[in-house]
Amino acid sequence: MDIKHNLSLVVALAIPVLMIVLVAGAIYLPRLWAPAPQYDFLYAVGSYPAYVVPEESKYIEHTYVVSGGRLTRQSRELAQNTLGLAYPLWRPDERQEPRFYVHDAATNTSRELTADEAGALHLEAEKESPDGFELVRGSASGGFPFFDDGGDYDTYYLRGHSVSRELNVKTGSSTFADGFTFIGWVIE
Amino acid sequence: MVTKEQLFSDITSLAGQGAVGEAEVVDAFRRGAGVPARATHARISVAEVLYYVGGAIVFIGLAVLVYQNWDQLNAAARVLATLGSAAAALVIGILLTHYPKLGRVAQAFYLIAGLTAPLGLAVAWYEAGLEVESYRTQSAMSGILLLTFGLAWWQLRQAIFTVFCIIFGTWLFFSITSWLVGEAPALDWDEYYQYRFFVTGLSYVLIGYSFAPGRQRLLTPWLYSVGAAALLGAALALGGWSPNQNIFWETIFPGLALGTIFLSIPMRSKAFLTFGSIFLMAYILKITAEYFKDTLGWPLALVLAGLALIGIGYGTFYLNKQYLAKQPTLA
Repeated sequence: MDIKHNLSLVVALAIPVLMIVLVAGAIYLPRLWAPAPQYDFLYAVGSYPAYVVPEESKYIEHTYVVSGGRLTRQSRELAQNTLGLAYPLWRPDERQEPRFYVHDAATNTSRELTADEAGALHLEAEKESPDGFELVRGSASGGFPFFDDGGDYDTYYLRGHSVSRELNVKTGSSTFADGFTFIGWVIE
Repeated sequence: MVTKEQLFSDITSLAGQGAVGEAEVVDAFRRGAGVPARATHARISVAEVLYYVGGAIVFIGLAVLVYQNWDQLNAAARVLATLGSAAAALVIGILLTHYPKLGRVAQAFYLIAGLTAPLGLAVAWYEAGLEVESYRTQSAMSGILLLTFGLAWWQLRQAIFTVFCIIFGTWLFFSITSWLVGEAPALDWDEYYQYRFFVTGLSYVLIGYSFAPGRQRLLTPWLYSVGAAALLGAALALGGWSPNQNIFWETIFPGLALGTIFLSIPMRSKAFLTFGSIFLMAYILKITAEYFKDTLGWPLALVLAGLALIGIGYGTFYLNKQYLAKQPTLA
């Protein structure tokens, strides 16, 4: 092909290719010099921070809070309405006790902990980790007319230093009430 | 040196295959005779339209057949009915191309192949247990189709393959760029689509320009129209809306729209004139509603916007009458 005579065609084909190269470069090049994340984090899957347990004729609400860098559980008895129901708006399957996981930043894997083990961790409940990473969800993208993969809203990423890394975390079901909840960065 | 008889025989043969058009032969003659080449519309005959309609109907029939009998067909039958049909249509088209009198009929089979192949690949992928909707799969499918139809174009130089290469290439561009940013969360997908439509529109216009002097000039009006609409539509959308407007795009948009309008004269393109005018009008309405309805009040803002639209309308009419209506246009 004579490039001189087909300059506009060459430019026409080069522009989208250039955009692909630039987008790929903007995503992958920073990985060459970005530091690896150092801090593990604790998260919950289930009804966090509060869940309700029926006990005999009472309803007990347990609520987790991070206080003084530790995960603690507070409990209280709920008042009942005339029908004896504490949570008429919640479905029973949403009242599940949360399960705790610690995510290992080095191996990108999660390990389940008991509530007591989780309570023993020293946490920092800031949005950003001490080494400059934060946890974000994927986008709920729409699709071009040719396709629609529904986005990756249920995918979580560790983002910082111009780099994003997809995380292998347990997300539970996709409903808001019992999905993934970040609790804090593990300091020690 | 070829003889006159040999030349006419070659022209007859190439015309039968659809490899050379009447306008090209006339232009070649005029160049030799020292008469300036004229810009002529390449046209599709009624028979060709019927071939294409027939091809499209065959595709619809195949798709409905597979859909209605999906549960009765096993995996092999599903792939054979879709991907197999596409391959068969492509082979039949190639065989028919070698018969000068049937060269035009081959276009219908190429159309069937081009429409059915994506469906066939999707069915094959699905039966293989792969995720058809994922961007990675979409990229692979569109890449395979682009390569296949690109090779077919390389061998046969048929305009219909160019059309499919543009469609599959656009598909590949969007799926690859979506796949890449799958690892870039919290992306503003609307803006990302706008930038990609802008790039796509620019590419279409340039491809149309490169086709204008050649035998694929039939595609130029379509490429100019789709390209100008995508480019200007994306640029207008990128401007956003107050208070989240993008000053850069809002500022350069009038230049883009006016540039498109004035480019219609040297490029002899009514598509440029039409879309440039439509988007300039849209921009004036947008800016009026965005910035002036609170300061001037809606009624006065509407009056001014209306006067501006009348001005653009007259300018468009004048340019068309003065420069485009008097000579043949390309697009």
